[in-house]
Amino acid sequence: MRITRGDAKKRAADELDDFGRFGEPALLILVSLAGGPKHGYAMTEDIAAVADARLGPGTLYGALTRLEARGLIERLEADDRRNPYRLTALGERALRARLASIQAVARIGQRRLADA
Amino acid sequence: MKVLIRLYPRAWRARYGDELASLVAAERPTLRLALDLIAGAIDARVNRQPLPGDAGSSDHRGVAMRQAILHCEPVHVTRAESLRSAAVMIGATVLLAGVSLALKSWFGKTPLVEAFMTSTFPLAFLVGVSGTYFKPYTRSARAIIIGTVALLVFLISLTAAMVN
Repeated sequence: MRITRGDAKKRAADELDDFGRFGEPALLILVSLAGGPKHGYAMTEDIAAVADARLGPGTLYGALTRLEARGLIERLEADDRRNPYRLTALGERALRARLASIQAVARIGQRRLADA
Repeated sequence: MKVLIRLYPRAWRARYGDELASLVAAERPTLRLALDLIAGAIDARVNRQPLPGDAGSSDHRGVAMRQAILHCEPVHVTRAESLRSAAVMIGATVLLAGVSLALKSWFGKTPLVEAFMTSTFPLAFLVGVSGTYFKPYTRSARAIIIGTVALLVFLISLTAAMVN
């Protein structure tokens, strides 16, 4: 079966599905790691600054374990007691696909509001 | 507040415990933080994620396949499958309860009817979870598991009813 670019894009976006209540925190973590590797505390601070949302440690690690289990992020060597994480190639593709889909929805929403 | 980290599964703590502890130490101890940690611990126990390193592979598809083959942990269940399972469980409970009442009104309170009534909920439960916890099994394997367990429950209930 031939896999088109559209299929590959959809598959990458699907990697973030089924995260349940951890969907939004997972997306914020990916956005944070797109700026470079970070450990938990740095991610929390970065997300608070970027998205004005402070993730609790339980929520952060709930999303982080899912992202790591799906191979979207990976853990680096420990720095003190804290392990930094970085985006994998699969994570980068999933993030690009999800951001593109959000952008498309936002564009349509804005166009409809402008027409209303 | 760090004591709440003990609520997480041991294997989870072995991998993330230190990191989580240092993050918790940096936070102000609040009720919200405690609830967040408790909810996180429940999630870590209920929705266990394959931990990289345990399986000898960081490939999550490999881990998922290993789980499906060994049946040692529940496989991933979608929200639609959970809802379908709940609907089947409720439907089967109502149906079997109706059959039990009909049998009781026709035949009276015999040990066989009593055993059937006792077995209804376990049977409805098994049928309900066949699409979730038994997901990795083939249809015939599910039928054998459900049939065998239902028969055992019925026989135990019948023995209990006859002894009484």
